[in-house]
Amino acid sequence: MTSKLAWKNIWRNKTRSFVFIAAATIGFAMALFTLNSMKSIAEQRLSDAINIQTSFIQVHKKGFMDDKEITFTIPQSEQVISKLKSIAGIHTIAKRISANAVVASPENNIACEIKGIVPNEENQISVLKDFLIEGEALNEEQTLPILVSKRTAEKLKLKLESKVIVTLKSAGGEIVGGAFRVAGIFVTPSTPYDEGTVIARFNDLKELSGIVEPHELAIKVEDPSIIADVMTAITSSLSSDYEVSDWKYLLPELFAFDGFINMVGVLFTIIIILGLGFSLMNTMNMIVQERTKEIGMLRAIGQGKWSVFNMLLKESGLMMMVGASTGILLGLVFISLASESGIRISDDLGFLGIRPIIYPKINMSLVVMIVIMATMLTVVISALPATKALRIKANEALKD
Amino acid sequence: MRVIELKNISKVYNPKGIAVNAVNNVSLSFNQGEFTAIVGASGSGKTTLLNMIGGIDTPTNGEVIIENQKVNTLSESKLTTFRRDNIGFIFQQYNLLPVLTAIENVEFILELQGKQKREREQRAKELLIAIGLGDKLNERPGKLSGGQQQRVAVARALAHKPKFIIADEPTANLDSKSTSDLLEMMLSLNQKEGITFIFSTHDNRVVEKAKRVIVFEDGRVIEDTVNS
Repeated sequence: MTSKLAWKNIWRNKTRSFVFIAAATIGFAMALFTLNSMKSIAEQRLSDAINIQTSFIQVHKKGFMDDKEITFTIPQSEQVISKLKSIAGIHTIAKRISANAVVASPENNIACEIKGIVPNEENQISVLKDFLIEGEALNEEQTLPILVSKRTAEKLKLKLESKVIVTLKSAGGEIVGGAFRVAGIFVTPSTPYDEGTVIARFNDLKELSGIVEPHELAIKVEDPSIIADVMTAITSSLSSDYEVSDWKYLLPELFAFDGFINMVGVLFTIIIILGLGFSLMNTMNMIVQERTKEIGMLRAIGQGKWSVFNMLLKESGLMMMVGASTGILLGLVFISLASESGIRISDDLGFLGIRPIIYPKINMSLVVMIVIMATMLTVVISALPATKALRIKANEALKD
Repeated sequence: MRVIELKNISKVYNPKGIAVNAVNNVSLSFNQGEFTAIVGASGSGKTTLLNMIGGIDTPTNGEVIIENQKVNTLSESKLTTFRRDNIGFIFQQYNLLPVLTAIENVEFILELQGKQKREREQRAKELLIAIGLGDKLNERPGKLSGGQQQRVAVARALAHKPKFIIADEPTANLDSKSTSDLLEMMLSLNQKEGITFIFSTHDNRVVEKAKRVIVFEDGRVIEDTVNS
């Protein structure tokens, strides 16, 4: 009956309880919606970067990551690839040449990184083709094709079929140049990537520069959760001449951003819950003060002080639970609606790799985190006023 | 049979400042089944005395012995259990839980004792019917008159079949009809169940019905008479 009594007590002062529950509902809904939106931004940004740029794991010749020297290619790459293909969990391996280059048109020129890819391998790893706004993805039928971003196209005043001259350092250390024709124009969510990358075929760059082996092997795994295991297997199967890196190492700023978003999310939630906590503490203080005589009577007729304490905790817990569950439900509805319609945040966040429209997804771990934090806080915050009730003496309380 | 014994009990409030002797070296004893009124002006120490007998206050000096058990030295939790199992309280202001119905108010103390729901409901219902509130079982205190609320309070005090009932001015807020009804009920319980009643009052109608009257003044017993 103490639970029943606690529940009924909540509705003694309907306005006060309603105000707290409404605040909790809005707070939890906001916290959940904001946290999920932020998490979705971070995940989307990461997913774009992995799926367009790096893939999950890369293998390089040792030292390449420190100094992207054109001669630092992967020796005996075909043997390495066949060795890696025997490792469970690897979905695709794609060879890439990665070199600094200058791309010039009759109007202008830019310095960028040129990636040499094998189209049928790359198509299984990269989703760049989904970001083409003109033209088509690279294939073996085209003649010296190159993909450029819309920004590059604008800077160099290029359109489909325009000719560009790509200049880069050859395997022998000389500067070599060759003509390519624009086969496609892309716009990815990442402005830095768009401004700094052009894509050509592996064999075309091999012919131009004399580089026969790739600089990197991009590896897609079957399930992101097995990256660490696959990394370990790759590392143990290769000699120390090779360097194996996962996306966290390859995209440190994104990894840090993910951590930052998580931290901001947790801080934001703590602030909201603390605000609610103080409101709850105030409410419970008022309750204890108003019911001093009643608590005195309960103590007199034989209710133990810890039983009174528990009753008050239940009361605050129930209030928080009603507010939290309504808020979480409301937050989930908002997220579901937004996941369909999307939320336009800004067109100018491409420099951070953030898409203009985000589609928040429900992340159950965040829901669980909020519930745990709310529960812990309710117990801690409510314990303070409830402790006051422990000190109430029946004889003194019943005097008035 | 002597069931309650007070040995030289005193209660001093604010002993470190200006001391107030609410109860001053009182020795009394109560027998099983007594129906005792403690009479005195406001501030004479009646309530303090009742609180010490009921174990919700402890004497500064002296001993409170109930059924051979020295209650003033019990730990707080043991004292709470002792009150819950042995004493029924009736308060001047009724002190019912406003959010619970009449039957739930009566059941509450049985729940504190860990009784099962069916047993609790049956006992509460029986009591409320016995005191004429069979049609008000599911009414909240706010919907009941003062007399009806006090009867619910009596039912609550009786629910756990206590040996003693301590009542602090139980009729103070009641009209004459309700006072008379309540007194009849208390007397009947005293006679039929043998429950020991100790209550404070300054209502002459109540005093007239008491079998024993203790007059209290400035924290001392100045008269202790048994009505024939």
